[in-house]
Formats: sequence, C-alpha cells, structure tokens
Amino acid sequence: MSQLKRHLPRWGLLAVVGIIYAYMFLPITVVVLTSLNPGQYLQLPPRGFSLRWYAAALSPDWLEPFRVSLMLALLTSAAATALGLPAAFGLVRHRFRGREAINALLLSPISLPAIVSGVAILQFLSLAGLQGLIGFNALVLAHAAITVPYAIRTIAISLHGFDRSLEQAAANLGASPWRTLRHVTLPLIKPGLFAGMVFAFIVSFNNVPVSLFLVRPGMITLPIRILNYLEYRFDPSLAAVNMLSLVVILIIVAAAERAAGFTKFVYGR
Amino acid sequence: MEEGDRALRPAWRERRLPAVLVLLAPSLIYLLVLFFVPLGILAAVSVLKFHNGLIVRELTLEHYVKFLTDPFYLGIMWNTLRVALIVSAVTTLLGYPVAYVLARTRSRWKGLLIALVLAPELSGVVLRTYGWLVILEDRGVINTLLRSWGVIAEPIRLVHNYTGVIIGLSHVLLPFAILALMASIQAIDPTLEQAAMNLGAGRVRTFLRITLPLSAPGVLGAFFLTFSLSASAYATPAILGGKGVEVMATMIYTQLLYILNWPFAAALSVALMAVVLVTMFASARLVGRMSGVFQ
Amino acid sequence: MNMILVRLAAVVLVLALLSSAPAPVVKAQSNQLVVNGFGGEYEDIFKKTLKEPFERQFNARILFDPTGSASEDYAKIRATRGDPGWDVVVMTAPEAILGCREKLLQPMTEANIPNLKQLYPEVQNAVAPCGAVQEIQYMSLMYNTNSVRPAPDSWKVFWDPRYKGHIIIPDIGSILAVYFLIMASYAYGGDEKNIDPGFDAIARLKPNVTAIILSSSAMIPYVEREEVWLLPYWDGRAHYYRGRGLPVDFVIPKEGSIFLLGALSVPMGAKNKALAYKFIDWWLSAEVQRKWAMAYTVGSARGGLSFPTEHRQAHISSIAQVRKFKSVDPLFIGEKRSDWAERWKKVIAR
Repeated sequence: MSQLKRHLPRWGLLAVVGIIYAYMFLPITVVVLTSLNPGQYLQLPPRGFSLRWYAAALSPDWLEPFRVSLMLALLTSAAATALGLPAAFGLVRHRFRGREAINALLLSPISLPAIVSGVAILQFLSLAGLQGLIGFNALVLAHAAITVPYAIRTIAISLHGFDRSLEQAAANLGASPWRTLRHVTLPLIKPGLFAGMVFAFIVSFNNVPVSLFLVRPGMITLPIRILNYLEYRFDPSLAAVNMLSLVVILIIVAAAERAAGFTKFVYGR
Repeated sequence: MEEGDRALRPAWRERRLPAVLVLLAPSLIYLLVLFFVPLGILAAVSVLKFHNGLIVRELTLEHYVKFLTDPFYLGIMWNTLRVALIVSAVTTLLGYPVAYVLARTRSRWKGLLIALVLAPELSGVVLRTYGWLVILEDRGVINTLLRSWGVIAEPIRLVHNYTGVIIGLSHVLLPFAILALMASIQAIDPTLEQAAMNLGAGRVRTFLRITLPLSAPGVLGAFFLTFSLSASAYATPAILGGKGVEVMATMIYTQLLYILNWPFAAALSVALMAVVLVTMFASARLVGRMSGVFQ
Repeated sequence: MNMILVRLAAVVLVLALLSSAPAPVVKAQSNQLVVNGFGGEYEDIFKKTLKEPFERQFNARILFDPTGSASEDYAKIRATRGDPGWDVVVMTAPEAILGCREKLLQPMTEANIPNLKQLYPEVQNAVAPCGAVQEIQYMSLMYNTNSVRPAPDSWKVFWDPRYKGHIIIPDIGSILAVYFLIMASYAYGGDEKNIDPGFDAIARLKPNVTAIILSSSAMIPYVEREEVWLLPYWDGRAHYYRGRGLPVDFVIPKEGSIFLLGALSVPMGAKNKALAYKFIDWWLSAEVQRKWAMAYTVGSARGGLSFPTEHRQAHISSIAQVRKFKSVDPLFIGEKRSDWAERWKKVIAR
C-alpha cells in the first residue's frame, strides 16, 4: 500500500502532463482530420479518408514558398541568437542603473502587434531610400528584429540558473575567460540557447504581418500563400500543407536526433 | 550569485568601455535601427490630425486624449490586460508540470516528447485556431458530446467570447512557456531535491522550498514572454472572438488597415507598448525586491 | 557528437545563405509589367483570362503578385508613399478614391486609356481619375435554400426571430458591413445621411448574430456547415459558391442594395506606366470585359456586352441595372467611415 502511495504522486503528475498534451493536440486533430477529408470541408464524424489534398500540397506552388520560409527561419534563428547572446550576458551578469528598463525595452518588439512593426519597417525602408532591400534581405532583418527578444529572454533564463562557482573553478584552474566561456558556460546554457533558436525559428516560419509588407513581387512565404489562398478558398489543401510542413520539419529534427543525439546535446541527459 | 562575478571582472575593468555596453550594444543598436526608429516615425504620425478620412498635417493630441478619456477604449485596454494576465497565468501553471517532467525525464523518448510540444506551433496559428472553432462552438465537438451524455441541456458558449480567446491563446503560447521553464528547471541540480527528501521533507515541501524558488527565473521569463505575446496577439482574438470581443491588437488592426486612421492606430500602439513595458518593468522590480533573483 | 552538430548547423546556414542570395534587381524593362491582384482562385482566373492572352498579344511579360487584400495593398502604398513596386494594382473604389486624395495614385485620362470612354460615366466618374472600373459587384442577400423558406425578399429577414443564431454579419472593417449598415438604415426608415435607424437596427440584431466576421471568405465554413442561413455577400463570390454546390442562393431584396466598384490603379511610383495604361485599356476592351465578367462571375461597367441570361440576371450587365441600386456617394462614405466604425464598435460592445 505504501508503495502505491509513494508512486501515486508520480503517476498523478504524469496523468496531468498527459492531459495537457491532449489539450495541445486537440485542434491539431481537427486539422489532421480536415486534411484527410474526402470532401471539400470538414465533416465530423469524418466520412472516409482521402490523400488528395496531400497530393495537391506537393506541387511546386507550395514547395517553393516552403523553401523560402524555411531558409528565412533558419537565418532569422541564427541572427536572433547571435544578437541575443551577448545582450543576455549583459543583462544578467552586470548590475547597472536602468537594468530593468533596458530589460523591458529589449522585450518591446513582442509587445506590439506585429502588423505595426511590418508597416513601420516598410515605411522606414522606403523613407531611407532602402527599397532595394525589400524582399528576402529585408525579411531577414525584420524577422531578426522581432525575434531577438525571445533569444534574450530564454538565454537569460538559463544564465540566471547558472552556477557561477563552475566558472570560478575553471578560472582557478587557469582557464582564460574565453576558454571558460566556450567550454563551461556555453554548454551549460544550451537549453536557453535552444529555446531561443526554436522560438525565433517558429515565429519567423509562421509570420504573416511583417512578411506581408516586406515581400517583393515574385517571392512569397508559405504563411502568406496560405493567407492568400484563404481569402478565396477554404478547402482542406491548406490543412494538408500545414501538416506536410510540420512533418517535414519533424523528420529533419528526427534525423538530427538519430545522427547526432540532439536532445542529449541540448539537455544533457 | 552575489559578487562572484568579481573573479572575472578585473580583466575587463582594464578596458575603457564598460563590459556592459559592449555586450548590450549589438542588440540595442540593431533594435534601434530596425525597430525603434521605424516605430518612432510611425509614432510621430500619432500627433497628426485625422479629419474626414484624411491625415492632416497639423499637430494635435486629440488621439491620446480620446484614448484616455473614452471609457470604451480604456475598456479595450483593460480587457487586453485582463486576458493577457489570465493567459500568462494559465500557460505558466499548465506549462510547469510539463516542463518539470520533460526536464527530469531520462526516457529515450525525451526528444520526441519535446518535439511534440513544439509540433503544434509549426502547423500555423490560423488553422489551429479554426480547429478550436470546430471544437468549441455551439454545435462543436465539446457541446455535442456534453449534450449527448446528458450533462447539459443548452450549449455552453465557449467561443466568440473572451473564454474562447483565452482557451485559444493559452494553447498557442503554452509551448513557449514550457520551453522557457525547461531552460530553468534543467539547471536545478536534482541532487538538491533528493537531499531535501532524504532529510525528511515531503514532495510538496521540497517543491515549494527548493524547486520552485530555484526555477523562479524560468517562471518570470515565461510570464514575460506569454504576457507580452498575449497582449499583442491579433489572429487568435480575431478568429475566436468576433462578437463584441475587442482587444488592443484587433482595434489597432482595424484602424491601421481598414479605417486607415494611422494617427489613432499609432497612438493606440504607443499606449499598448507603454503599458506592457511598464508592467514588465514593475514585475521585474517587484520580483527582484522580493526574492533577490535579479541581484 | 558535439562537433558533428555544430558543423551540420554551419553547413545548413551556409546553404541557406547561398540559396537565398538576392535575386538580380528587376530592372524596369519596357515589356515587363508588375500587377498586384489576389491569390487563390483569383490568381488562376487572372492567369488564364488575362495574363496569358495579354503576354501573347503584346509580347510582354506580366509578373503577378497575389499578396494582400485591397486594404493591405493600400497600407503598403501608403507606407511606401506610392512606390510599392507594382505597375498596376487591383483594389476597390474606396482605396482608389483615397489614393487620389492622398496623391499616391496616378490620375488616368481618356487620352492614355481610351476605353475609359466606354464605361458608364456615372460609374466611372465615381472612381476617376485614379481608378478604372474593371468590374462591379453588389451586396446580395445570400441565404440557405434548405432552411430559409420562402426565399427572402427583404433585408428585414435578418431580424426575423426564426433565424436567431443562424446569421452572420461582417465587421465594420469591411466595406460590406458599411453597406449592410446603410441598407439596415433604409429598411428601417432612414438612409445613409440619417444613419441612426441603421445603428438602432444593428443594436437590435446583435443578440441574433452567431458571429461578426471581418473577412468574407472566413464566413464560408459556417455556410458550408449549414450553421448560418443568412448573410450579406458579394454577388460574384455568392455565384461561385452556389456553383460549387453549396445549398445557397442570392437575391437583391426589395429595399435595394449598393454596388461595389472594383478599381484598377497605377501607383505614382510605377516603373512602367506606359505598359500599365495599355494593360488597363486592354482589360477594359469589350472582348476582355466579357471574358473576365464570365470567368470571375461579376458584373461589368461597360455597356453593349452580350451575356447569357443566367449571368445577366445575377450580375450587373446594363446601365438600367446599375440605376436600380442606391447611389451612395463613395466620398461621403470615405468621410464618415471612421466615425461609423467607432460607433459600430461601441454598439456591438454593449
């Protein structure tokens, strides 16, 4: 009996987590069912299955925007993390006047509806005579700007929980600050780095409001194409497109996991 | 976590520029050029007149006055903040157990479980939100099930109101809270928890006295992220709201894109950002004072 | 294992950078035209009915940009001060008129677009000089033929308690909502100049409404699921959905309705204005107008075209039909829009 009592909280916790996972996947279930629906729109309970929408989703009309969005998101992710890393160190490791204010300021891009940023950046580029940038370049710049806050925030979280005595130990053993950074600090804040990169990737990949204003005629991102499509049609091929892009990315992640033990690399265990 | 950084400081003090500036410069300058200046230009429009559908080049504070004196707009700001607070509380509360289990698990499915947390995000906001519509509406999945089981007679209004918005936004932002919390919980040495339990503390006590305080940076960080994001969210309130639901983002969107009253839209944006930033600032100060987290 | 990942990441990044190298700057070639329209099915029809024939006939190249609704397009035009990167942009009358007042759109004349002469003057003059009317739609009453019997003949059917919980109205951001508000006013004793009856009617309607939706395409899932039986909708789109098999039909109620003029405009900063004028003139020619109206199931502002009976009955095809609609001054709407929007939001929020 006491065995049960001991394990009950553990199973209780797992049950709660299971329910939360179910909550997270509830609407996805609807999207999946929609994408497999033989008819034009979703009927619940579903009346059969069909892969025709997936076939439609594999056309170059969708593949090219997917490629653009993927590349854009990768570059944004890298840029946001590169910019955010030193800033997080500055915020966490140093005490200075106005720290909370700078902290808040560096969060500001995500406190504003993205459409305002989109219009503002377009207007700025236009006024500054930088129309030539409009297109992929402006998109990377703008996306990085709106995702830097995520990177700063998550890396700061990791840095807060960081045991400084480890760095001290390394210093005592004769390591230079740079070596300590590379071999002690950075590896230990990987969860924060990872979170920041992932958030930046997701936000960029899904972004509509900023991308809408900064694409150039002749190029398009995946979410914008979906949006255009939605203006005129509401059929399940959109669900198929979404599920496909999700699956592709998951496959890439699974490959990274198999090839190089991704989770262990980031989370250590 | 005190003056331990003194060990590393001496080498940097020799330089002329304080280390802080060097560290903060890249992102500050980057955001200055690509965010604050553009925003400033747009904010400058907020002091221009708007008359009969046209922007007039005369200075005025009428938009700010309108916002601050009309209970309708103040009400929208209030609703926005209310929703943001509830959503950030819900996501942090729901996210914590998930983050804890994921951070601590040694299962070989850890990677998959983490990927599953992020997977819904990659399917885009719009379609997921429409999924919620199908589930929550009067003739949707939940109501149909509850009615067929005889639990309720009339459908419960779960959508086209603030409840639906909260459910949908919490869903969209939960992965952010989870990963942010994980970054913090991961860093807590599990032997600390074990030691506490060996010393006789129960699970709950260990959690409250050891785990929770040590994960405070994660909790605060998750709160910052989810609060700002829900305060500025547009798509979910637009789709799941729709009948009298009005938040700052939907109002700004309408003014910016459809009414084309850019001065007013800019004023509303400035107001929203100011309020959110002040809230972040105040919470950071408060938590810093309370627990010495931000030493 | 550590280094594998880092190297992999580096390779991926380099690939990303390389594959996304900025494309060569599109120089203004005299035979390239950048046209901004809409996506989805519009893009398909545009390509078949307009792009390919024009390219063949004029030995030109059209770069079609499907990004953005009319409102988003206008925001882009405003943000770039009339230089959004397009030579021709498809929007509607309100945007064309505002663009003229804000000096962001190029005024067009019968000298550079002769076919403007062939459009109904009262229609074209409403949008001139910065817009050319390439199509006309109107707000129809779309209803579910299974559930709404007999077929409705008055806008007041929305207020019928039998249909409570089965109606959708557009949100004030959409011009459709402005029209609906005006027709509600007409139905209950007012008009666009005396709009109070309209707002009172909307206030009374609110409890009966399932949802208030901004984007007209977002209303369709409700119609498909037969949750919604009554909604105001553009005739062109209504025809399309009826043709796709939805159990709907669309009518013009006895109180009348208001038409919406499509408008082609040339931004001030357009690089290839000469070709833009040629394209617009070609789109307004008799043959192309007829093809476009049939393909996109809309009305035309050009007289003297022959359409099949079914099309003529459903869409505006003659000046007589134009005159049956309420003639509401678009300039007046443009001026009032902001105040009405605020009042609408307050009425709905109560």
